[in-house]
Amino acid sequence: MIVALVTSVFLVQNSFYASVAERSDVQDNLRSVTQLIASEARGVAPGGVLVADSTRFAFRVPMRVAGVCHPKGPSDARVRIPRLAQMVTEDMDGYAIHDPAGDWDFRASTWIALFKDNAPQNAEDCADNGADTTGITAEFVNLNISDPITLGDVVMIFREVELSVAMSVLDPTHQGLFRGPYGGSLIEFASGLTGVTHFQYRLGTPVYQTSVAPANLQLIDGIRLIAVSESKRTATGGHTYGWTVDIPLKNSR
Amino acid sequence: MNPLTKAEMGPPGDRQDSEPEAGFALALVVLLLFAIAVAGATGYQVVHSEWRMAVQSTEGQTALGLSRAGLQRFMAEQVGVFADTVTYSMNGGDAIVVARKISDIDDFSSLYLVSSEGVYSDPVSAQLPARRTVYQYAVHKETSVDWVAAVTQSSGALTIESGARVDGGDISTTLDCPDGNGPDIVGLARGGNAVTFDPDDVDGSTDSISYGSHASVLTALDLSWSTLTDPAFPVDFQGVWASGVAVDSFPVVRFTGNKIGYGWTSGRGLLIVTGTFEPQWGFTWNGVILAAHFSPMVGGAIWERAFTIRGAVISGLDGLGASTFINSNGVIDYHRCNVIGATGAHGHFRPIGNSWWESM
Repeated sequence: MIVALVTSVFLVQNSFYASVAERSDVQDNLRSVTQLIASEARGVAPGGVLVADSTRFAFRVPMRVAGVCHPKGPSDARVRIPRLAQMVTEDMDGYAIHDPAGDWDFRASTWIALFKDNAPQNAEDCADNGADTTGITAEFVNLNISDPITLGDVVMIFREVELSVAMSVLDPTHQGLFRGPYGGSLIEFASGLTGVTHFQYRLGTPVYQTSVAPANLQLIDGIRLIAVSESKRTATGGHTYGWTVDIPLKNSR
Repeated sequence: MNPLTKAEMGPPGDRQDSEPEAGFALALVVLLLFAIAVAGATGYQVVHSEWRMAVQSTEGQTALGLSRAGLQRFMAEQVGVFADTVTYSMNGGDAIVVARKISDIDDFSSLYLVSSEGVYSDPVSAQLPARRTVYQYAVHKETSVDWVAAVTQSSGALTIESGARVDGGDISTTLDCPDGNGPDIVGLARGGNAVTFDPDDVDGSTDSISYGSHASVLTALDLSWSTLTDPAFPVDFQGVWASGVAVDSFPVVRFTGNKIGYGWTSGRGLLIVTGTFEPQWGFTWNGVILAAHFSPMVGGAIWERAFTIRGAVISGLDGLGASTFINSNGVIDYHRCNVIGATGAHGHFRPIGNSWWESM
């Protein structure tokens, strides 16, 4: 009798914790999905969205924004790039000039093409124009920007990122979220999603749309991710967990 | 206790059959209890890990919120001289805001990079605090007005009586301030109304220029008259002349309605008069005068009409078109150091749109 009771307790407890662990799994999937997308997409600038449909979202996101402190002439601009040492320069896909109307004019480029030199004279030139260079002289570099720029302009250094909802490689019975460079090979970083998972887009009105025509991409000022994660272990009966997150694009308002 | 007799113990075969059965049950129960304990501990670890991840997620979100709030607050609150590092304690965490100058742009503005690091740790969490940093560029308007001339008349006719002096040539030197001995500016600037003067009485890089309209003048000056005259906008002295201030300071003095300036009320700084301002009796001002209508005394004795401004005058700001007559005993000399000092009290940040990003 005692053995039967204790065995029963053990089995019920085991089932309960298996269920808890499974719930954690599905929630972890969604948490990683939403946090990554929110962090990356929040800084998307107007004109920075490349693709916007229900399962694909590609955009330009600022890696750094440099301040021009000594424009000497064509292709000769001294700037400060904050936290330059931590920037993964290989990820760069281009730069953008902030025009007088407040819009970004994007240019495809690479760091090798853009970077000219990091001579100490750059910081000295900028200091002559009032820059505070204390302790950060290494962040003052010379960039090869052919566009006309003037003192006080800002220049965005961006990378292009693509997010895609597609059939999972890790769990072929479900969808997965893939991330990578736009046009490059994407890597799956979250799985266990259902077919309900998709993107929606806001174009200045409260109405969200599941796809946006190329001509209207610059109007996008917010994205919504509707994600559902599920697990179907027969032992626990399976769990489904849904999550919707709205991400206003900070730079688009 | 007495030991059992053989008869009490029963036959040997009975003892051999029952002892192994009792031991098996005990061992099985102990094993299952151990398994339950292990499963419980494992389950606790699962739940605890989940809780920690949830706390970490919340901490990260709170830190981001703090960093964004700190950035907004810094941009909004800084008027005049500001500290380059400010810490705001909000919502149980801190926002550490640092403003670093990138470059001067011109006399009136500079480019700054403002960073804000949000730091938050949940009180129940034993983990390191979450940190999120956001950046945004901003133009720091160093002055409340982009002065363009020694005398600017945005609306209403302007007449300079023969014998008066309006000079856009800088009379300050580097002994007055590091920016002294600067370039000359225009003598007279106006909206669309007429200006009458003898070229001998007006000097500067150009004697006179016209912006065409009152609105164009305000745009050129980058001046928000409605803000400066709003009673809610803080000034150093409201309705009274400055007193008890350091001799080298430039206080902001504002009078609502009409005001007369006498020699014994002379002073320095930024003088704002929402009505008509009438200087007389040797009134002297070292700084800038902003008036809805600047109207020096007409007629009277020389000593009654005399006044001297070392800085700049901007009149006609109400747009109503009242005329200004600068009498022959009036002297208005451009003094760059006084102008910079007087207008610097209202320096403020203007964020550059679309230049926000989060450090990754």
